Amino acid sequence: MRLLVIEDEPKTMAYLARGLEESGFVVDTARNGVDGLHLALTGDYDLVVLDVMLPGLDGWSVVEKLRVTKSMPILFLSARDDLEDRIHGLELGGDDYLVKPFAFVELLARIRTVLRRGPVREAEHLTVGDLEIDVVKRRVRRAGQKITLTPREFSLLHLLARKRGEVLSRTQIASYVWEMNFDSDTNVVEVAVRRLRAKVDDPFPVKLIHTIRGTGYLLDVEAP
Amino acid sequence: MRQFSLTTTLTGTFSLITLLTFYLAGSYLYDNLRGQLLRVKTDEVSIKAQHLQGLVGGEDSLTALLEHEYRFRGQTAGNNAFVEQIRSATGQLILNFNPSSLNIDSLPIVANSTAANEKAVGRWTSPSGEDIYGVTVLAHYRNGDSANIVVACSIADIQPLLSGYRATIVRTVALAVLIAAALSYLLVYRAIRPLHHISRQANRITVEGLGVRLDDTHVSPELRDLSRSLNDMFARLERGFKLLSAYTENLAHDLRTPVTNLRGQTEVTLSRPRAAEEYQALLASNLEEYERLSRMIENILFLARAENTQISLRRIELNLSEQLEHVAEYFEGLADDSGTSIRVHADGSIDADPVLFRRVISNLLSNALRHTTPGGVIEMTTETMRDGTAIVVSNPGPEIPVEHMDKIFERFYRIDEARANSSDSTGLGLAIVRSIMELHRGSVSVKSSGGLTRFRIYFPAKFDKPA
Repeated sequence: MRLLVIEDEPKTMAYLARGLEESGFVVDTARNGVDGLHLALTGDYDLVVLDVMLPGLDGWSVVEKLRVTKSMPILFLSARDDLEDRIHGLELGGDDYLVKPFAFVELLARIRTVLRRGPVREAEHLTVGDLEIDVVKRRVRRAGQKITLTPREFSLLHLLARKRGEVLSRTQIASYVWEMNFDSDTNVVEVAVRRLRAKVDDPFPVKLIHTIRGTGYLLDVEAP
Repeated sequence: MRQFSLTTTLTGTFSLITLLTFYLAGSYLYDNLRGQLLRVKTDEVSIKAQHLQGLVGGEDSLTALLEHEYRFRGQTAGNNAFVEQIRSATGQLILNFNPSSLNIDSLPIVANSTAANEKAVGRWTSPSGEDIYGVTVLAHYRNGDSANIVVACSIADIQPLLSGYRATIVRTVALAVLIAAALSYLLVYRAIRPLHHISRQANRITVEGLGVRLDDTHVSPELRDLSRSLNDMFARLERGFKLLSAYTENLAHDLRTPVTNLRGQTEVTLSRPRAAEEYQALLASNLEEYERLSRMIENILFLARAENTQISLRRIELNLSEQLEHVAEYFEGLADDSGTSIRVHADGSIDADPVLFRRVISNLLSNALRHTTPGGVIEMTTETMRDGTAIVVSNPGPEIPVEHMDKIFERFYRIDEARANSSDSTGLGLAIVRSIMELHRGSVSVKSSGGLTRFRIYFPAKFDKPA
C-alpha cells in the first residue's frame, strides 16, 4: 500500500512517515500543497494523508484540484475541529477528518478503516492461537476450556480479536464497547482489560492480551 | 444619512414647532379680522341700499323724488366713503352721490331683484384695479314705476389696517421663534450636560481600572437609571474579566505541571546512557502526560464552545433507567476495585443530548468514585417533578467544606491543592457538568452533610432554545 503524506510541520512529517512505514506502508512525503498535488496527480497512491493548513496551496484547494481526476481516499489532519471545518472537508471529498493532537494508533486505525471500506463480512468464528470465539453464540473457549464472560467482557474481547495485531487506544475501546464517545480521565478501560485478562490469560501460560504502555492494548499470539 | 447633534435636532424641532404654531395662530387672527371688517362693509352697503329703496318707495313718482331731492342729500350726507345712486328703470343716472369719485363702471346699473340683503352684495374690481363692494337693486315708486339703486364702496380703506396687522403678526412670530430657539438650546444644553459628564467618566474606565464607576448622585432620575444600568454592566464585565484572568492563570499553572514532568524526566534520562528499557519507560511515561495535555485541551475547547453556545444540542428522549444503568455499568469495574458499588433507582425519561448526558453522569460518577470511602455505596436516584426532572448522585465520603461549595464548579478549582498534580483529573470535570447543564437550561447543585455528598442535576421539562 502506497501512501502520500502532505504535511508542512517537519516533526509531524517525520513521525508520521516513520510510524506508517513501520506499520507496513510505503510512504511518500510532500512539504507543501503544490508539491503534494503534483505527486498525488502523477503518482499512484492508495491513500493521501493531508494537512489542512499548508503553505502555498491549502488542503482544501489540494482536494478540490485532486478530485477532478483522482478518487483515492483522502484523510484530513487539522488543528481546527469546528464542526463547519469537518463538514467542509467531507463535502469537498475527504473520507475522514482527524483533529490534532491525535493518537497515532487512532490515525492508523482510521487509515485501515478507510482502505478497507466497503462491505466487509463479519467473521462468525475468530481464532487467535488456542483462543476460539463463536461470535454468533457469544461463546469463548481457550485450549478447549469454556470461559464465561459478561456481555461487556465479550464485546471487549471480540473487538480485540477482530482487530488482531492492531493497537487499540483506550478511547477507541471506550467508544466501541461502552459507547462513551468522549475522552474520560478515568482508568475504566484498564480495569476492564485487567478483568478480562484474569479470565482469558491468567490461567494459561501463553498471554494473548498485550499492553502497549501509554498507547493501548492489542491481542495476538506474540507481543509486537 | 448625516446624524445631527441632539442639541441641533432638538433646538431646530422646537423652533419649527413654535414657528408653525404662531404662523397658524397669526393666520387665523388675520383672516378673522379681515372677515369681520369686510362683513361690516357688506352690512353697510346692504343697509344703505335698503334705505334708498325706502326713500324711493316713499315717493309717488320720479317727479316727486326730484322735488324732494333734499331727502336724498340728507340721507347720504357724511357717508363719504360710499357711492350712492338712484337710476331710472333703464339705468339712467337720476341722483348721484360720489364724493370720492370712485369708478364703479364695472357694476351693473340695471338690477333684476329687490333683495338688498348682505348676500346680494358682490365684489367687483374697478378698471383701476380697486376692490369694490357693491350692489344694484330694484326699487318701486308708489305709482309702480321702477328705479335702480346702486350702492358701492371701496375696501381700500381697510387695507392699511390689515397690512399693519400682518406686519405685527410677522414680527411677533419671528421674535417667538428666536426666543424659542434660544431657550430650547439652553434647555437641551443643560439637559444633556450630564451625558458629557457620564462620557468623561466612562473614558476613565480601562482594563487596568475596571473598578471605576459612574457617579450617579448629581444627575436627573432618568440619567441616574442609565448610570446605574451602566454601572451594573461594568460590574458584570469586571466580574467576567476577573474570572477570565483567574482562569488563564489557572490554565497556565495547570499546564506547568505536565510540562515540568515531561521536561524533567526527559532531561534526567538523557543525562547519561541508559538501557533501552529505561528509554521505553520514559517515553511511555511521557505519552501519559501528553494524553493528559490532549484531554485538557479538548476539555478547555469544549468549555469555551459551551460558553459561546456553539455546541448544538441533539435532544432525544432518553430513558433514565437505561442511561444511568449504562454509565453505572461502565464504572462497575472501577467501583469494584475500590471496594465500592453503584446503585441505580431510576424511572422516567428526559429530553437531552445523549452524548452530553452521558458525559455529565460519567463526570459525576467518576468524581463520586474518587471521594467515596471504601465499602461505600454510590446511589443514583431520579425525582420526577411537574416542571422537570432531577437526578441525584450521592456518595458517602469526606464532606466538602462550606467555603469550597460554590467554587467547585469553577474550572481548575480543586479543594485539595496537592491533588492538582494527580494525573487522573484535569480539574475540569465539574465545570463541564455545569456547562452541559446550562446548555440544557438546567442546573447543578451540591449538598454535603452528615458524611454524604449529593450532587443534584435538574433538567427543566419545558426547554427553550438558548437565546
